[in-house]
Amino acid sequence: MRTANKDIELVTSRVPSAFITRFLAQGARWWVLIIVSPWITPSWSATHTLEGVLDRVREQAVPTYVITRPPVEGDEYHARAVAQFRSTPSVELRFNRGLHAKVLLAEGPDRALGLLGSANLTLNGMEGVEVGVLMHSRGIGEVLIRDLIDFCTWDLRRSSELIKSREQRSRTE
Amino acid sequence: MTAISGWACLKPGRENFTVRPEVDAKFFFGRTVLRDNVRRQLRYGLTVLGAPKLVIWGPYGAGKTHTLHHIKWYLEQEETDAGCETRVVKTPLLNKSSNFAALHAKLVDGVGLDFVREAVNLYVAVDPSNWVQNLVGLVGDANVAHALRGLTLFGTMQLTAWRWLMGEKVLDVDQLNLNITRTYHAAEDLVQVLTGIGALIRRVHDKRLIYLIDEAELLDGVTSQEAIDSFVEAMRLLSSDENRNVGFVVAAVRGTEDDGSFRVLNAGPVWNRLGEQNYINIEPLAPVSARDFVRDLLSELVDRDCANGRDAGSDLFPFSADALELLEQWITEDPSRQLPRQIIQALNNGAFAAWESDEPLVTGTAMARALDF
Repeated sequence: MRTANKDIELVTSRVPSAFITRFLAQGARWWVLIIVSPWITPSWSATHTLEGVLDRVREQAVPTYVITRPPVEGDEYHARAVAQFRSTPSVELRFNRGLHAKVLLAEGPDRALGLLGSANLTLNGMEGVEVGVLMHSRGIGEVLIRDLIDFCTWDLRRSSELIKSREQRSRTE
Repeated sequence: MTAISGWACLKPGRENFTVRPEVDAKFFFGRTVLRDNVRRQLRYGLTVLGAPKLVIWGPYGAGKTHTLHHIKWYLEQEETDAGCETRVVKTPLLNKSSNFAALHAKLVDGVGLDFVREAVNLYVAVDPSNWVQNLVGLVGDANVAHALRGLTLFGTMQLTAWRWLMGEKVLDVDQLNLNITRTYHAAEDLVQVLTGIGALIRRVHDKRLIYLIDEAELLDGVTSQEAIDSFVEAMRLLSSDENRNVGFVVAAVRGTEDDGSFRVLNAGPVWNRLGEQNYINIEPLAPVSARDFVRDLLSELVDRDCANGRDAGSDLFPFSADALELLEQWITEDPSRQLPRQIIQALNNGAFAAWESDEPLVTGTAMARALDF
């Protein structure tokens, strides 16, 4: 089910893909990407993978902020995803042991996009029973995105442990 | 007769209700939405852009200067770990052919010779071996590095080096002695000087250099296309994502599309880099906001104990409720009055009218007399 108005949309199926599909859309340009998810896996579906997102990040040298939980023993998928972030130059990686929030945000010269919901950026998050609100850069959607960017990059980011800083950054035109 | 400050129970050091941007920088009266928006964009700049890059538009008397001083306070006193070294710089008088060099000189001077020289000395102290070559790598330009090195020399050479950094032409022989190859006058070169100084400050102090540039409407005096292009190029480079060490907040009265300030600050190459959200408009105070503004102002400027002894229970002292209602009507009648400067002036006039007549409060009658309303 998906209900929509012009500013925000309720998403109840394959929740993270609502954001990922738009982030990867052809021609989409981004200034910043923010991933807040306690758990992350390298693959989310047959077409959506972390590597695909990171390819876009590398292509545009998008400053990317990732806040997640530290890998735990036995969770090799999360550990592999963390390793992928570690090896991507423009990614800043931080760990937060108490993290429960799930937020995806992106902003570019033409638009901003946000997803706030229950789904981790994992295969289960894609296939399980989840719910989310997709926000566009209009009206209340824009207000929420601005406030979430501020919260994620300032309060939450500064209260999370820095694991890897960004070494490369560029704001595309 | 008691002085008006005593009569109005103003706190020590206050002569009237006028807000002084530098002294009162901590306060942002009655405009929490604007304040929060400015602060959010500053944080966005610090995190995502490397340094805040904002343009603030607003009419005369809207509080732009106060906003710049509030930003300075916020970045240095409130967010103490934000790592910012701020400088408030007033735009110089510009004529039709003034180019970026005129502003550049003030920006460099605003950092201060002593501060930059100390930064060079600290840089040398960390790694004395091969430091000049390392400095070239840090600032990204050999001439700038050699000029910075010149600041550590004795006698007049350090002043010569400083003048060169400010964009002045120095004697060829001095240039040779400083190991500098040419004068920097083009916008691109001058921005290299600014970002070089910014990189040095970032390295030794772990702080970003943030310029708070006031009265940028003086750019309206610039009419030559070549000169405008020089400012646009400088702003384009400073707005670029490559520049992560030198931030700016530029405040100006928003002119028409033909005015220099608009042509520079709203130029496509600048706008495209900053993004719409980094252009902030200070709107006139709506009457409801004006009420909040006055209440916030009085709560800060008036000594509450003294006021309670004079008019217990009122948080509006020395004004009566009907005086402020009249003030609201006066504001509503003419939008040009919906500005902090106008409102403060009205408060001062009302207080003076009541004080002069030896009345205990500023009543509606006194306020009407003062406003001729």
